[in-house]
Amino acid sequence: MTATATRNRPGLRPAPRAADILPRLIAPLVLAAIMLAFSVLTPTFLTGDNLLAVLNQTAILALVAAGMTVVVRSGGIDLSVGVALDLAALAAAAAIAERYVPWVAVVVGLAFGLAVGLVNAFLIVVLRIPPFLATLSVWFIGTSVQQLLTGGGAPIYLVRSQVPEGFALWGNGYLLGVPFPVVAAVLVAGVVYLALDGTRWGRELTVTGEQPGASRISGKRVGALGASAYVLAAGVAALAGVVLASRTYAFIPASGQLYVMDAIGAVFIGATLSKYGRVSVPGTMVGVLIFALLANGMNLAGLSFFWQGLARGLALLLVLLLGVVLARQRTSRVRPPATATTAVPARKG
Amino acid sequence: MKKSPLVRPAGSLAAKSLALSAAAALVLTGCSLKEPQAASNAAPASGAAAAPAAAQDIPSLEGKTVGIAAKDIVHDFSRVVYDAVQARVKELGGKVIATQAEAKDDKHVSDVENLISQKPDAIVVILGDKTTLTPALKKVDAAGIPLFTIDFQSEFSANNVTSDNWAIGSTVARTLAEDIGGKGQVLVFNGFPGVAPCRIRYNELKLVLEDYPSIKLIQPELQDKYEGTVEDAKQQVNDALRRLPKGQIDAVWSCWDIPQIGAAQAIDAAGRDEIKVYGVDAEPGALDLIADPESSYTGTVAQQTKAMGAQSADNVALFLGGQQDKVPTTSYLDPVFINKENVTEVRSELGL
Amino acid sequence: MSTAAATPQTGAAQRAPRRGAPAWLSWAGYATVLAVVLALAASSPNFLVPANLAAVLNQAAVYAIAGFGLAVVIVTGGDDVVDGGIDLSVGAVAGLAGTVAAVASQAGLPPVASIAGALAVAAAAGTVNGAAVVLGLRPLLTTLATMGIAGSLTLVISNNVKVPFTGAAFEWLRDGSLAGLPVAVVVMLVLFAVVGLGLGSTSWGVRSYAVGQNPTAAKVAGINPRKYIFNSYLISALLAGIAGLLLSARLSAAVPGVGNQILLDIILVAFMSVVFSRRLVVTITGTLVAALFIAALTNGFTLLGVASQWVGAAKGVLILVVLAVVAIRGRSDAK
Repeated sequence: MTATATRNRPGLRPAPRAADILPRLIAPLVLAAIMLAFSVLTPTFLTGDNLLAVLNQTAILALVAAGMTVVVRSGGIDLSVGVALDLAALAAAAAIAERYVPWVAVVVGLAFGLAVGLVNAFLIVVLRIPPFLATLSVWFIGTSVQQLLTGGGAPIYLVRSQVPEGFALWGNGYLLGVPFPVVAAVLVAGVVYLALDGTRWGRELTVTGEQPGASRISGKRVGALGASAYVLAAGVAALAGVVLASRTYAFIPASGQLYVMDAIGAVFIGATLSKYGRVSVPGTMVGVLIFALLANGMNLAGLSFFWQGLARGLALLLVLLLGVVLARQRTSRVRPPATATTAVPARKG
Repeated sequence: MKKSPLVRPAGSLAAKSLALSAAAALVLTGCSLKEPQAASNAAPASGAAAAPAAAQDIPSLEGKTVGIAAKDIVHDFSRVVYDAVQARVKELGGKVIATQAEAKDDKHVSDVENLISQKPDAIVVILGDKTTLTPALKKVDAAGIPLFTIDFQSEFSANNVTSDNWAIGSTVARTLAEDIGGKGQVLVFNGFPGVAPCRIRYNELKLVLEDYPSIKLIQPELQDKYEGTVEDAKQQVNDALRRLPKGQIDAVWSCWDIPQIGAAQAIDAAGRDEIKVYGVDAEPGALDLIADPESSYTGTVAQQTKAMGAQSADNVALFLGGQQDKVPTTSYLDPVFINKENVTEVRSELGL
Repeated sequence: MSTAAATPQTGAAQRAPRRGAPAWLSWAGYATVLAVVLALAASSPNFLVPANLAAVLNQAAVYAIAGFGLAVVIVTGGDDVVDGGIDLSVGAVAGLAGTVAAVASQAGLPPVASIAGALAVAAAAGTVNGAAVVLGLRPLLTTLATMGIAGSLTLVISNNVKVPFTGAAFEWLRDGSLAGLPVAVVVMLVLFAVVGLGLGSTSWGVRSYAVGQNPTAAKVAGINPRKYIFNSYLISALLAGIAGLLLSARLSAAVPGVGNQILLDIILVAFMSVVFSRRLVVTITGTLVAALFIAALTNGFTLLGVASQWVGAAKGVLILVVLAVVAIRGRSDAK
């Protein structure tokens, strides 16, 4: 299958065949293989303690990636989620340092992050600047803004004993024994999943992403849909920023940058779960877990960081290659009708 | 994005952002949203750099321009020095052109080149690497511009203001060794073996440990990064804590404080109070943890950053004022070793 | 346009109205550059000095050369953000190539062999990228993976320390000059001519654009898209390798992690070239102008004494302003 073919993603779903499913199971199978390999290699890996800790460590990436999924589903990309995350962390940490009550800090943090989303939406939807360039520019601008707001990039440190509980629990609290960041990530991922795959908004967003020409028929809504995707992604990244500020009791400039590439990677690993290469929240979470468990397993197995990038890159290539090879075997037998591409998806429900 | 038919989720978002702007307005107007406690000494660190003016007969820099090229301003050391040099030059009546390279080696070289084009009366380079910068520094020399360095030595530099990194490295190392009773295992962050101060401090650690054969460095060493250091270090240490259960880690070492803030947070949360954490630089966040009796953060080293910046500016002024003989090749400023006992005292003394 | 042809190419469909923009719009980007450069020249007497201009050209070389490669990939792969051509491994491959050359020459290999080795490693990375993409992997993910692999290999072979890049040949790369210009600048101009002419005026270039804009139609026209796509990644990696050699020469050492430091600016330069194209597509000339412009901007800000914290914001805002002007004017003219 060439790049051309992956672009043809019809909105209609025929019933899956057993032979079609295998290539789509690659990512989950690799996830299972990673778990199996590391539980053999290190006794601590497959313990409840460790797995819960991995989830806790991964919550921020999971949040960012869930937001990224929405944008990619809408046919765009958001390189500026790191900026939304950072500005939210900055605002929240600054508010706590200025001794505002916790909910104000959280709200201000989210507002700063959402502002990034609104800027993106304006640039991409109103000015029609291509998403890659628009969000790349916002990345540059946001990095400058961070430096200008913090006297050149000074971290904001919060004294642990003086941080009000209502703020500290965002990153460090537990709900029924589950760390709060994990709860937040699961809730957000669940809501985003339902919104994308269970609402009219989600269906329309998918159509605008996959068939922009066709959906233009439905008029101005396209703009509102696109805008909502960028605002939502930034909002979720902002929540991740608040969690990060709370968890580290600090704002450290440019912390968000770390998550952008991994989030994009996770989203597209997730796309292999779909017959049409369509991104989805469950798929994204599989991608996030592959990255997280691989990093954790390599740390537990005592692999030097020298080799970790190599292992990660090879694992990624392996998932993708297997997916493609298996998909090829399938397409050589069953060829989807070419006319499917022109079909305008009916609005179901 | 206008008022056009917004779908439900988007609509709720719009409502949310309304609520947000209302909150923002509240923030602007009232302080009733603030925590009730009296504002104590918890103000965030600001980069203000009122240099302790020991200025008796420092010549004026009136009409002189000083170019500054800092490698980065992402951590407290370089940022405070960067601000302090600028403040002192301005105080002496000089003009400043300041650049910082966002920790990018290539941009640091470009910054120095760009400063040469501006033909300043002197150039101060803050942190850097001899290998990568030497060609650019040679050009500074060729252009006849006096060069001053902070925290790294160069053959082209008229003066280097620095802490004694060898002393810092060996003192931290032997303090660590003594604190853990001369035996045990040490987890090490060694992501920047190429950065001069880090290289020196790490080599000193190794040197000291030659005489403590019962102390082992845990393999693999961990990677500290420039971006997202605290959270990243926290995760790595969390994983290490599970890999090496109680009794297998006695201390964590790093050549700077920022990764150690994450390390100490991980260790404290895991309740592994047998582990001691050591850093360098006296980042405010690290000092907060050292001051916290519950925290595993044990020690750091304050470099007299404000004084270092001011000293460099003074040296520039002396040099340009014709008093070259008063400018030594290297001006050492004494590091201050901070532990749980003296942290409060040192903080108020040095204004950290 | 027929639906069947248009649907696979989302980017083309969105931009369709703007293609009819009047000719003067292609000058919006250049006009901005000219205005900024004139402003810089007017405010600082040191800006238009030959030595300073040479420094700016020199600083732009690494980004321009790696940017040419990325531009070829984007042209051939299409600029769709999700499935289009992108090479995130350019920075890491540049770093790896520099490190290979430095380690090889430290091991006593002659410069020619070191450089050949470095370029061979870069070509290998490009082959992996190209083969994987031709097999049907998403470029974004493939090159994300190779970026990690190349970065990791750099750590392994350099032991995560700076490897000095010494020897007369490398010093000549850094300090030497040809026809009065620094060597790196000459290399940049030669590669600009080769890649620019190749992409602009040969059948290879025309076909590459065709493949990028509509692979289905290209296939119908008898072009094998895979060949062009594969070659684009190979070219990108080789150019990244050359950029990496020049960067190491410039820093007189191979610096571990330098690939991550330069990646974003390379991407910026290649994508920014859109601003200098009437049809709003990625071009080689645009890439060169963008690289020079960004170097000039950073240099000019230093000369003006503007704090470097503003440079990032200025880059971003200027791109957005130009794009917005072009986009808005294009739309109102199309109505």
